[in-house]
Amino acid sequence: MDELEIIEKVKRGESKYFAEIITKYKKVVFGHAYNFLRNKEEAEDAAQEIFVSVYNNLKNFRGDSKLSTWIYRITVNTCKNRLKQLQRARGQMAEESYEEGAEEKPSLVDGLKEKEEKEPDKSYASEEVRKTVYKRIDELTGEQRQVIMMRDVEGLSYEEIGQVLRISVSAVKSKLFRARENLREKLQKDDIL
Amino acid sequence: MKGHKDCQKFKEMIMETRDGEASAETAKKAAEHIASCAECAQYDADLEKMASLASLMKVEAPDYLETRVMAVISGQKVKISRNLAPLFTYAASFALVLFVSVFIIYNRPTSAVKDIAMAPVPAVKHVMTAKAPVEVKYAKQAVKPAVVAASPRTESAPAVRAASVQQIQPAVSAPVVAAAPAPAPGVSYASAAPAITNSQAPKTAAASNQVENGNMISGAAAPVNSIHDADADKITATPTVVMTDIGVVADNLINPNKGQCAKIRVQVAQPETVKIIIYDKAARVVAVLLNESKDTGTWETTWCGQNAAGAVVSQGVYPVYIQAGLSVAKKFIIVTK
Repeated sequence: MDELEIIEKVKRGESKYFAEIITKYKKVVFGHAYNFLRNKEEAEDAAQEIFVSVYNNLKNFRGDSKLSTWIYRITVNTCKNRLKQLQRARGQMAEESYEEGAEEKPSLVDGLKEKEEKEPDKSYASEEVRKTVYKRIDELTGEQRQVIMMRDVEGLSYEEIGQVLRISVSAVKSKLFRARENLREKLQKDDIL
Repeated sequence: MKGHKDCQKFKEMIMETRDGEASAETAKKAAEHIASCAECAQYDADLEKMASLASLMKVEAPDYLETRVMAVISGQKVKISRNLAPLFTYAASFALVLFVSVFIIYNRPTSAVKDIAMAPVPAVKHVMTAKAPVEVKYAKQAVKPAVVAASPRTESAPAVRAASVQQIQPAVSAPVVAAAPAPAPGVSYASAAPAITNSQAPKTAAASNQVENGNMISGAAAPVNSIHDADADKITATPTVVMTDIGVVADNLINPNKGQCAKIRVQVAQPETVKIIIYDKAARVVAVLLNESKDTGTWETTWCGQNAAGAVVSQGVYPVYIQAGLSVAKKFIIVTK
């Protein structure tokens, strides 16, 4: 069934067809949420929030942009908000532990990240590399991190990235180039490249 | 330096080619440059590696995501109503406040009743059992000092002391009281009742007790031995009942936990069956405060927020049904905690 047809059906109240939209975009949405939040549970919660938000706002979707772009924009904004909340909670926890004079505990994000990283289905070497790559990507600026994730991990085109971030294609190219150069330098220092 | 700038330009071309965004011409130029420039060839190789590293970061979405999201979506109706719940709560609170305000205003004692000294009424409801019949009349135009002439103390008179349903002499209407063993009119007086009742003798035990409490209670009640429910039934069955302002509720906002009680007064124009019944919102009888014949006069009872079993009722609005003969009045008491 055509995507527009599905949208129309969902708009008419046939919500069961929304499952098709979820199936189509869940990989991109969950992937971005996971790479942004670095925690499986958080990413699942974020993905749920994103799809519910998409469903609730589908009546406002006029088709000016592609559905994928529109969903991706919601994904980016939701993940940003969630990360802010997490960081706030992280700061609060750090403050509390400082006040209590307790030993420094791993933050919520780090703790869950460690748990996530202990997945048995990945080889140790891949895990180490992945950990380092994540770390180096984290060191990039917010915009650079976003464009790298969107392009290299989630496979969005320059145009789509531009629509999501509301910047021109040439700006996307420029940001992506600088981001890759920075990341390349860092990974070369780590002997990964 | 020029070479470096050129490489920068070619690197962008290489990047575009790797990303599949370059035109055929750009891709061709990039390929040619890679063949002749070791640095750019290395850059191209690094990009390839970085792309393979990116695949490490790809994660699979959980299979149950659709089910989870669809469950939330299908349950959203309930969720919405939950979200609206605070709104309904606010609306209900506002309506309650409005309701309370209106009834406080409407149940404010009239000027005539205000002048009546309120009787500290015992919590336990009792009915006057004085056997001597008393006739009470009202003479609004009376100018003479009021005298309470009570019948000599009888054996049944002490029971009046414990009465929670008391007859009160309205100050404005200046009741003229004739209390005698026979139901014949006695001495008629009016005005400044407390002073005069103090100065008058003989007094019954009931009368003196009431004066000590600062009440203007004018006498004992009519015999109640003859009261039975048949009278009440006759009245309630009468289709010609009329809503009148025969009753008033003072202190109608009570907290039973703080020992607060509402005072309910009923004005009886002629001897007849008087009913004061408290209901709940579901129209179930909570307490029957009074259901018996009463003589002419103003009668008062209290309700301290307890049901027939003596248990404190839950908070809410409780309608009070007041009936005297064919006249009925409906008031409200608000119980808070």
